[in-house]
Amino acid sequence: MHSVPDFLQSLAVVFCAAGITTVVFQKLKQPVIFGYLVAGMLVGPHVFIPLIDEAEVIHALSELGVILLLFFLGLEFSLTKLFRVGPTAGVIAVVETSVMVWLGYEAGRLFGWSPLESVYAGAILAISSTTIVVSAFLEKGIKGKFTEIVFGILIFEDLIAILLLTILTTLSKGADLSFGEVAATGGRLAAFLAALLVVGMLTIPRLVRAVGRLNRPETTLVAGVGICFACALLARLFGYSVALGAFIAGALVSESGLAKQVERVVKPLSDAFGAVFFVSVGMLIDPALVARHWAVALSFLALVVVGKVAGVSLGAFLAGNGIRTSVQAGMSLAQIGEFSFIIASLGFSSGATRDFLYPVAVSVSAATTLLTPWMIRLSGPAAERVDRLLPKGVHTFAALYDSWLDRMRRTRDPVQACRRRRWRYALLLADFALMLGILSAASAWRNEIAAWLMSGTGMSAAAARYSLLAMAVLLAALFGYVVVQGARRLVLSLVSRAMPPAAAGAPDTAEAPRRAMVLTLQTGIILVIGVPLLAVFQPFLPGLPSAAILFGILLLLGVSFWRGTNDLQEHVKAVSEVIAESLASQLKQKGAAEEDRTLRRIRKLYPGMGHIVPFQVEQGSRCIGKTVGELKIRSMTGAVILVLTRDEGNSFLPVKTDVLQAGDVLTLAGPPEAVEAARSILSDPPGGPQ
Amino acid sequence: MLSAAEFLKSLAIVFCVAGVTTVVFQKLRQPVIFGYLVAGMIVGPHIPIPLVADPGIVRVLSELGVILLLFFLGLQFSLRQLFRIGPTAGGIALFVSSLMIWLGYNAGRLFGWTTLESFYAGALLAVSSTTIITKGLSDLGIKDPYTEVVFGICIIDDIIGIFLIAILTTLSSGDGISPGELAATGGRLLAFLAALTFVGMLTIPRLVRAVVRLNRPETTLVATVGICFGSALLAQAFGYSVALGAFFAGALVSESGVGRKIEKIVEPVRDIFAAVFFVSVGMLFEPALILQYWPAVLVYTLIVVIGRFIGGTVGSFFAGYGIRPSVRTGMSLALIGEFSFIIAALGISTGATRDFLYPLTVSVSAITILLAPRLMEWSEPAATWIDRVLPKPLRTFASLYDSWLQKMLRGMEPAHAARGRKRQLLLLAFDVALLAGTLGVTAAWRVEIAGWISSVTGLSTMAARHLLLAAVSIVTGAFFYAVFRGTQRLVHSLVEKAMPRAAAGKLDLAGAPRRALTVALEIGVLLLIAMPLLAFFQPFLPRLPWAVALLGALFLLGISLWRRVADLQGHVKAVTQVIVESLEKQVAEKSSQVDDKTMHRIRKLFPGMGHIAPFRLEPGCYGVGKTVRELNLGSLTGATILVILRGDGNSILPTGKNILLEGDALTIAGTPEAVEAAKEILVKGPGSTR
Repeated sequence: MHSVPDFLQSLAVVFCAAGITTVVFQKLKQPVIFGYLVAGMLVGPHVFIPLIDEAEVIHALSELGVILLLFFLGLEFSLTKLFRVGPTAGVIAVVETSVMVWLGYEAGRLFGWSPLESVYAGAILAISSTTIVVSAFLEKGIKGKFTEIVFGILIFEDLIAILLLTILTTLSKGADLSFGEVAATGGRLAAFLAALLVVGMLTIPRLVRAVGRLNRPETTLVAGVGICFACALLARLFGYSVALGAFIAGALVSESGLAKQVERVVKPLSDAFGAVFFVSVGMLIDPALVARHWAVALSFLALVVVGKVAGVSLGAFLAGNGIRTSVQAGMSLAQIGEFSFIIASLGFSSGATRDFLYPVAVSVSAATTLLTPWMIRLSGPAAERVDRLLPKGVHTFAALYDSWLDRMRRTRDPVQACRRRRWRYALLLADFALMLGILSAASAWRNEIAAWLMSGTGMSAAAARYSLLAMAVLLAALFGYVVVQGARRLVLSLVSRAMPPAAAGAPDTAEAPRRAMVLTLQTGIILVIGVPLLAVFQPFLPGLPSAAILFGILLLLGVSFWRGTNDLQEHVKAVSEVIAESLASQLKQKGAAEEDRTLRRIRKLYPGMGHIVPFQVEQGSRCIGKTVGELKIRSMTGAVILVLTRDEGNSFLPVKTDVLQAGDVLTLAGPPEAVEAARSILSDPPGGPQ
Repeated sequence: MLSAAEFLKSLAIVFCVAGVTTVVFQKLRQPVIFGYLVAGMIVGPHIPIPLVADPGIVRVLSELGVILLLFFLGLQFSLRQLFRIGPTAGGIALFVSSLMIWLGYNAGRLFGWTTLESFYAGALLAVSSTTIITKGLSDLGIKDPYTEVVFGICIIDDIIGIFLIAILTTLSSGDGISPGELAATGGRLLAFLAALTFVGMLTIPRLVRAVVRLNRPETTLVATVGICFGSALLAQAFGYSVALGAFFAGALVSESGVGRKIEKIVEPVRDIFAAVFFVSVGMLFEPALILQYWPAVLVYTLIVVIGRFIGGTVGSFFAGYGIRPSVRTGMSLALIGEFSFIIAALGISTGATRDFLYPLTVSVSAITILLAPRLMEWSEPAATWIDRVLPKPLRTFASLYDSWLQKMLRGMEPAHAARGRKRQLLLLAFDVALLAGTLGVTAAWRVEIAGWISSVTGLSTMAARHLLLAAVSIVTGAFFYAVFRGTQRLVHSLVEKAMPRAAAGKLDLAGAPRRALTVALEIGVLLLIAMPLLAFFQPFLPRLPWAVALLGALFLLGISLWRRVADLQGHVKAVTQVIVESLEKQVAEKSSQVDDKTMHRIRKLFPGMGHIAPFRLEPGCYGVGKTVRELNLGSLTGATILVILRGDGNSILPTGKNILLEGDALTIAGTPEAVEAAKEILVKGPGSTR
């Protein structure tokens, strides 16, 4: 037992230090969490002001902080919200976290760590920090389309983090991993979660509503915290992380529909003990240890910043968010935070990792925390720069891709097609499951199978292992092929929904766009399926071949994507010319009244060109005299200017340096919202003379 | 060892059980705090329910609860508020606390406890619980002028509690208390408090304002909690209770003027740890010990309920709140709570008391907490009942007493009279200080002085002590007489302000009221001075003679009060007759309308009759057709109906059975507010005053 004064003294020191740093960092407009980490480092045992030797007391209290923090995250998480941000955010989150796990793992292996340590390293890098991102957005008052996507991704990341945490708890438990054991623990986990969710769903929301009806903040608070701790304790009793229990408790409470009420009373509590948690995390930073492993810290930092930005941007782009939004979302999420601490401390406490991983994780997190506000601030200009650097073909593609996805989502199918598509989904899933099964069986029983091969055929051990490997690779490749084909079929059917093939005999004007879209979607699906597989089975498989296969496929797809976009660019040029001509003749013959019908005809003729709308530059408009490049229509809105029609009936394809004149008619293409935004910019350009 | 797992388990058990009990007790409409105590009994080691939390861990956390609780009380306390509710509440609180200490001490001595234990027992009873009273009153939705008095008393009680804690810490610090040491520790305490207040006042409000300006709830929270813990730690480092430091921190923070905002943020954190605190209190509840000490529990419960009730009622009556509000105030104050727990814990931890005192406190507190809402609910019927039972002269006196006091406090006076009064006050204070000094010196050095006397005069020790006692009794008696005379002089001059003497030779119409007021004020001032002296020097002085002297003085004054009151009743009757006659004359001469000028003349003629106002019962008024007793004006408002002037010109001195008719002109006397309230009731009925 610690005596009360010791405890009190430690706590008081922690709170005083946290209080001072939070004010100072708030004044400096730096992230407060960074302040807490610094405070922890200062009062901790490793730096020259060792105010606290009772690290253990603070550790116990920080446990409280973890529970309350996760409870709060759980409260903010809700199934309804999950459905609203929808599958888009889910896809992005899955892709980018898998990329990060994989990268982290590979980096760990390169540093010569054990597989388990490397998995931990990957998991530590995978999850962004909701706390940091949210407070950064609040601080800078940033709002916009990309913040919504970022929040969606964060919600899914929380979910993935919880899963990672549970998987890692399971993995670290046994010293040697036999497949049966892993399966058994996995099953037990699933059973535990299912039981908790079912029983919880039946009781807790009702209970919380009953408590809420009493209309006593204090009672609500104590009851809510009681539920939270009960779940955390339950999880701990079953051998899982308290974070899991607390998060699920929060989610269950939020299902009552009183989440806002509970949040309001729990917030100060989670703030205060969250601070204790972060300070206690900071206390564990040993600068000497970090200095000794500076290479690791630096490379992890680079991995987080580059990997997160690239992964999220790519995912968001493939999900159809446009270049600018994707880059902004990517740059907002380039940090790691509370979950990394929790995962790192899990690894340390279960003995799965050595002592350097925790301080390294914390320092990487501290650095990224500091970077986050800058990254968010710079994300706008950076997105513009990326936009400018990309080749024109990709631009046109980006502008049109969104409109295709949009159309795909909006078009309704005949029932029959719908049923067929569902069937394809099922097939794809079955293929995927088979591949998964083979991979996991091969990885789990690899020693047993090799031994059986040896005894059955009399081969040498090495030979048996190689032949096993060959067989596994063959089988996996086979199924991989099947999966790719299935994905292709599915994609084709989806794409035909957006751009139906022409009737036999008629020229297929949607050929090039369709091909480009098929390729992109295929890349997306393979990423969604392949990267998580790679991330999860990485430790069990020979690292190189599977990565090589994946990369090979991606490379092939990339090349054909590149060609597709070039084709598309040509196609767009050609189509634009046709549009220009027909618009010009229209203008000569009848005047603007007939424009609408012409447009409708054109839209029908070229389904791959998105929503096409003309815009007339009025006399005295503020965009007169500006070049097309200056207006930045594309990077601001995602729409493209296809054709510029001058009053004498000349139409041409605009380049950046063309100057707009009064009476010009611009033909805009892109998703309907983008075109609308472009029109509003054209009629009132930003930065024009007021 | 404070292992994280054990820590979590205990905390989870505490919160779960507390969550259940708080909901259950909320549903049963019982005080939540009682629910926490029950939760503590359940998880405590003494009750055979297999849900046991580690008492050590809960103790540690409960310390947190004490700090936050006291910090919050400090936040609610503010100097400005103190000045507003003013000396009245201070006087009442001081009187009640002193009375309780005296009663508790004597009861302890009768049970055969040590002096220090008995003093602790007295201190335990001295302070009511702000938390429970505010909650109870708001639970019952009681909003009445008297609640303000109750809150005021609670605030002063908090300060008294803090000082008691400080004094008791000092008293218990040494085994043998030598006077020099006592003086030194007292001086150090004062210096510490002065330094804390001074430095704190210069820095903390400014700091808090700067922090709040950042407009970040999280930062504000962590910073204020940091201040709170820093101050608590400082107090502990100097050897004082953490409660002291936390309370001062709260008071200093609230001086920033943004206390409300901070209260809202800190409240949930306080709620949670206050819950832990109350649970930890409940855990120490030991049924076996209670069974062993049941007479003490019974006696102390009775002392709390009856003593606090009578003390509060008498105190507020003399402070001029009228019978009904006084009774309700007294009944609201009849409980003990958090301060008692803190004081009892202090006693055990310093070894000043044996371990039975804590469970005793808990059970007395639990019983009184459970009774408190009942008492608050019943206070209204009880007040009505008491009002009816009191003899009529006393009631008349009560309704007039308020109006005299008001007139006294409101009346302006010439500067030289004010200066004279200030001089009188100063003299009185000087006399009181001398009295206290003599008592203190004798109390502290009684052994040394007796030794000195015996060595100088050659008397036996016994004789020397008796001699000393006699000398002290004579000296203190002399001073006491001086104090008494000073009080009388002061009271006389005050009373003359309210009811100036008639010029020489003229009939003194205010004689009877003046005499009654004088006696009442004398009793009040005497109680206020003597009771605290008695309470504090009690342990050092022979018990009996003092109590006898005080009670004797009070008895004499009481008899004279009774006679004055009876005189007053006669006087009022006579005056009423005069009023009736003059009114009748008025009516006969001019009109049935009661004239303002007549009223004015009457008021001037009889200054002891309070505010006299006419009221005509219009058709449709609530009062038409009701008997005077049914209307119950006296007990509801404090005003009395002096005369009823019937429409036919007859006047009646009303008894309870008279029925009011349409067109009656009533003459009502009392304080201006009471008269207004009475008019309101006569028109709209009693529901409208609530």
